[in-house]
Amino acid sequence: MPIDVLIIDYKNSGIFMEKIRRQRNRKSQMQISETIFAVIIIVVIIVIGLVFYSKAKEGSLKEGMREARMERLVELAHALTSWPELECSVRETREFDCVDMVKLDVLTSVLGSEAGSSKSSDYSFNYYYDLIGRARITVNQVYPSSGKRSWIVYERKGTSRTEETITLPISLYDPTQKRYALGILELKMYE
Amino acid sequence: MSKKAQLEMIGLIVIVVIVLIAIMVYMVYRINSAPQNIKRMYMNRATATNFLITMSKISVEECPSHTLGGLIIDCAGMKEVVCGVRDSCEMSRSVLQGLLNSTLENYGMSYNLTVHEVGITIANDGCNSKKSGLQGFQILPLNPGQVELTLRICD
Repeated sequence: MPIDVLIIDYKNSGIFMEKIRRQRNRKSQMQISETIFAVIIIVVIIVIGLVFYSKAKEGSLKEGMREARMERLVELAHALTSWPELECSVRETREFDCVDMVKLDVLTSVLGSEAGSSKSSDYSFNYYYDLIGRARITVNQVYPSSGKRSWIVYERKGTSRTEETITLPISLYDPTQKRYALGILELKMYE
Repeated sequence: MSKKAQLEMIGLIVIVVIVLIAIMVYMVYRINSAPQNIKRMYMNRATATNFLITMSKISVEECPSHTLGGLIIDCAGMKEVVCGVRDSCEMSRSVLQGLLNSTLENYGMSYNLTVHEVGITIANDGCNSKKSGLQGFQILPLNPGQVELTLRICD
C-alpha cells in the first residue's frame, strides 16, 4: 500500500480525531484557568482598594469630627472671657482676657448646684447647657500663691470617653482689692 | 502561552499590586494625618499673648504695692524699687521664673521669654527663634522709650 494512502487512512481514523480533540480541550482549559486567574486578581485588587478607601474615608470623617470639636472648643474658650457674666470691666471698658473674681463667685454659685435642685438653677443650668453643652469649666488661681482659689464654674459630664481640653492663662481681677492675679482657665469638652 | 510568558505576567501583576498597595497606604496616611492642629495653634498663640498681658498686671506678693510690669519698668529705668533684700530686676526675674514654672512648664510647653531692655531670658527645651512656634508681644511704656517682652512658644 502507498504511504499517502496510509496517512489519509490514519487521519480519518478515530485515534487521530481523539488526539486533536484532547489537544483542543487542554488549550481551552488553560485559557479558562487564565481568565479565572485574571478575574481573581482583579477582584482582589478591587477588594483591597475598597478596604483602603473605606479606611481612609473613616479616618477623614473622624478627623473632620475632631476638627469640628476643636473649632467649637477654641470658639468657646475665646468667647468665655468676654461673657458679660465673667469679664472685667471698669467704667464699661472691658479688659482683654480678664475674669472678674466676684462675677466668677456668683456664676459658680448659680451653676454649682445640680440641675433640678431648684427652679432658678434648673433654668440657668439649661440656659448654659444650650450654650456650652457637655463640658467642664474650671478656673485655678496660680499666683499669688497665698490664698489660692479655684472654681468649678460649670460641669456636665459626657457619656463617652472622648474629650478635648484647652488651658489658657487669664487675668483674675479682684475688684474689692483692685488687684490682679494669674489664673488658668481650663475648658474640657466631652463628646 | 509559554511558561516564560506566564511567569512574566505573574511578575507584572505582583508589581502592579505592590504599587497599588503602596499608593493606598500613602493615601490613607496622607488623609489621616491632620495638616494643622487648630487647637494647638490657638492655645500657643493665646497662651503667649495672655501670659504677657496678665503677668504685666499682676500684683507681686513680696511687693504688694507694685505690679510685675511696674517692677520690669523700674528695672529697665530708675532701679529704685527694692522688695525686701532684692532689687526690682532680681525680683522680676524670680517672679517670672516662678510664673513660668507653675504654668507653661507645668503644662509641658516649650518656651522662650525675653525682656529685651533688661536682658532677662528664660527658656526651656532649647526653644529659640530657629524652632517653629508662635510668639506673643507686650510693650511696657518707659519714660523715655519702652520695654519689649516677647514670649515664644515652640511646637
